[in-house]
Amino acid sequence: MIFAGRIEKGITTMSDFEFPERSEQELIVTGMMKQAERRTLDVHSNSPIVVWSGRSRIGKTTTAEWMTSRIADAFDVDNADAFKAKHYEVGEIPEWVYQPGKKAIRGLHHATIGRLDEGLYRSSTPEDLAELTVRGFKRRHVELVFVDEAGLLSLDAIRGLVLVQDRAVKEGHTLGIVLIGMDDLPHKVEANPQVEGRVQEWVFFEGYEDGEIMNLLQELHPPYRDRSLSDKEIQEHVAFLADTQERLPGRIVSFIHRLKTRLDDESQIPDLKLMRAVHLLTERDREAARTAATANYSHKTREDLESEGG
Amino acid sequence: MRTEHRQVLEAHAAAERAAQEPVSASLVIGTLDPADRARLDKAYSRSVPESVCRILDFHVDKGVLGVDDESEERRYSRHDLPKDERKSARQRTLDSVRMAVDDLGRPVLLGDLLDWIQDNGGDIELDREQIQRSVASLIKTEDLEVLQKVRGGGSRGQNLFAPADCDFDDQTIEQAVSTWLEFVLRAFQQVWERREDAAENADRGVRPPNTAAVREEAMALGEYEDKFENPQLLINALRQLAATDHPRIRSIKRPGKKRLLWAPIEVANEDLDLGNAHASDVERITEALKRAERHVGGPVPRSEIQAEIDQDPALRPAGESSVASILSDAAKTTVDDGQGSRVDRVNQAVHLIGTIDNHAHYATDDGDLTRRLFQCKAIKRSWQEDSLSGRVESVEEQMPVPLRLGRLRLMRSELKRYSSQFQNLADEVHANRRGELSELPDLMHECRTLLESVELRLELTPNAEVELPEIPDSSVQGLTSRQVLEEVGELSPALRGVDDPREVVPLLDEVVWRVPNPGHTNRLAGDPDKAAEYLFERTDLMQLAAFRWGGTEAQLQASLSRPALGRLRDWRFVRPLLQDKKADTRLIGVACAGFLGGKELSQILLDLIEHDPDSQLRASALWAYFMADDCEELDVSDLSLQHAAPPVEQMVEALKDATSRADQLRI
Repeated sequence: MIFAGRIEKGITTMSDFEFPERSEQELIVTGMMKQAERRTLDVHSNSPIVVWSGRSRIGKTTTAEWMTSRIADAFDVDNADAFKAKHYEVGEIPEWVYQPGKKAIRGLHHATIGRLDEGLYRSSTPEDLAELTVRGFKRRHVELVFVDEAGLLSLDAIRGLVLVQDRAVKEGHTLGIVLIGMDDLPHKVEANPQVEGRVQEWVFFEGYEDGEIMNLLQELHPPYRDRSLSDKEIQEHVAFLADTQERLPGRIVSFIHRLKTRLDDESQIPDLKLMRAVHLLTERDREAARTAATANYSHKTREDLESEGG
Repeated sequence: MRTEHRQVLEAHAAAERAAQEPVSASLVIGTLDPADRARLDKAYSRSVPESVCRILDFHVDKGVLGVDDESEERRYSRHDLPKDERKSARQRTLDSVRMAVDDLGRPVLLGDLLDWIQDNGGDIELDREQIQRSVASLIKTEDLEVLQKVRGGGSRGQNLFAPADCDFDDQTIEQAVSTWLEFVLRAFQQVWERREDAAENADRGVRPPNTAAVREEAMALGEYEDKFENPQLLINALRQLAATDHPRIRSIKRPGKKRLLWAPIEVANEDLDLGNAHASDVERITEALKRAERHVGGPVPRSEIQAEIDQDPALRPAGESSVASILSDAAKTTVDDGQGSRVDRVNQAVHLIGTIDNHAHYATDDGDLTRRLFQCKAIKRSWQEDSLSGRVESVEEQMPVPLRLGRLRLMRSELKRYSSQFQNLADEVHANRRGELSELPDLMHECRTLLESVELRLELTPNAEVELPEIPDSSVQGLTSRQVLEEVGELSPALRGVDDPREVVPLLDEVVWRVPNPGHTNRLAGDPDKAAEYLFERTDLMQLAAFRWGGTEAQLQASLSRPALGRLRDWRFVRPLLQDKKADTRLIGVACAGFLGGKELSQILLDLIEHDPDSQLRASALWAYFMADDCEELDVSDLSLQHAAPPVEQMVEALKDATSRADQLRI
């Protein structure tokens, strides 16, 4: 038997550290996700640009990963209509870098086909790289690419992606590009007529409605399945979550996980007071951290800021 | 006598004359001219009153002045000593000698004593003759001891003497000698010491000074100024120093040069850097080689020798032959006997030790240690070129398992080989690690660390579904420059203009993996295929050609195969990929097979072309099949390319029309 502990003065003590239980992260498919999938695929045959936007933690990336996985599972090489999808997250390509369009194409190639030879990259024009990337897409049957955090791309970088799409269309290969982001992505896209004109669908991910929050609760914590929204207590729970987690599914999921670790009995529905306490525990420290950070930067004391209402 | 002393004594004399009695120092000070005061102030760090007091006291000690201590203020007088209390000339001479020896801290020559008496206001009533007689008498009575006889003393005397009760070490006695000859010798020695330091710093022989350099040094010493008015005197002194029964220096006459050089008698010519004194270009080049070897710590290429020549123009060949030509000739083991035959060279100053990267390396000896140094350098160069550290890192976890295993096992073999080579070298030269050999411990450590890393990664890599060899085949196919031109010459504008295959090397040397040529005989062989020390590795060349000059399909396949294969060329690790369930993995396998070639893989490619369910993959396999060697004739019109959108059809047409490797790469 091996003890994890220290030996102090001849006494061996056992550690009381406990690891958290691993839990399966189940994906909860929501109506928003299905809607995004349907609307994106509806325009796919036109080789569109689709823009997905919405706040952080609202489920955009989860939806993209879900769709990519479903498409891969459904792919059948004998099905002429079948294709594959790729999802990747871009790194920042600001306006001031040299040849941002080429860099964007290189990023696309790296993420979806494989590493691009540096010598080939340097010696090739953006058009050559676009052609090479499209050839790779063809060989791998890739017709849909999710470009996540596209808000980090400059306008010229996005034009690089558009070049690839144009090349694909020219070669008779369908290629849909989904630009996913928050930031100023919608403004960026609209500022460029060349890009904006190719956008065939806008999907704005909104916060969950009460019914969707309830569905999420029921998926995350089975005891809620025996209850409904007509129940006043449940309405209070849903309202609390809507208010404190801003109807964002990512935050709701995270909160419920934290909440469940405080429950004595997992077969019970939590008390609203407990939910409030769990929320305040995090919220209070977040506020304290923010105040302290601001104080250090502005050389004001915490009391000063508090008295100023900061 | 020093000017300041004279001025003070004159002031005292004037003050005493005015007062008609012994006078105080303050009165003497008051009597001084302002210019005298300024001179005193400048000459000494002490204040003027203090300087005057010390000078007056000094002369009291010497018996020049008397002092009246009974009065309130110390008073000085010149004439207070009664005649009967005055010492004899002999005694006063002895006193003067003692004072001079005390003051100078060494024994003296007669000339030194006279100088001292004059400079320090000594017993000026004694004239030279009296002093000379007194010294001789004192030596006879052994009140004075002769410590050394000095050559060439002349009017300064030949005896170096001091009071018998004084004790001096040898060094002090040596330094006391101050004849003209000794002075010139001292100047020469100072020049020589400086040049010795310079030579040590520059890691070369000492450059002996000429007469002008000695003259410059001697004049800077500030003695014997009158001697320099006649330049011949210095030359005569140097000749005299070289011509005595026990010469201290020697002259060096260089052929074709007027000016003499001078060196200490005990220093041989071999230890000197005689510059233009080299008899031939071979000697110059040999000297340059020697210096380069010293700097580098082992055999050196021509570039290092040239660098030494660039630093010292004296080493430049005087004739029209190039450095390369002189080196090559000097390294030959036989020479023309003048009658059409060649005989063994008797004295080999330059040795060709070997070549690294087509650069010949030379040394002044070909002993065991030299050869080990060269060997170490060659292994180190190979180690650097193989870039095993970077290659280990480039094996990514998401690579198909067979490729990961193949590449890691290949690197393990290479690392073990290097480890063995390093260890053998270390065992052979454990006591003598210089130059390249001093880096052996670091190289061994790096090798060992990498090997451990590779072993660990192999342990963590899952087994492949099929059995794969533990030791991958490391043999590769190399192309000569001529073959490179045949295969891809027409693709590249730079290569198209090449007539001589040797011109290919500098164009591709840095970008294509080069492997040793098993058919290499020697660099000067008439057949270029045998002269070439290295070949261009075929797969790497084809991938580069695809990237640089190839069509889209070629570029795509090269993009897939190059990061996948690395330096792995064993087809047995690619075969499983071609049979994998995942189309993406088969695609990588197809690309690798296309560039590796070989009958075994070609057969599988053929099978894929005909039977793979994925039409896109069939298209890629088609291209790869034509790229691979040993492929059979294939009627592309029979192929089913259902669902494959254009330009696959175009590719098929292009393949049908392709008549060369270059044509295929253009697709």
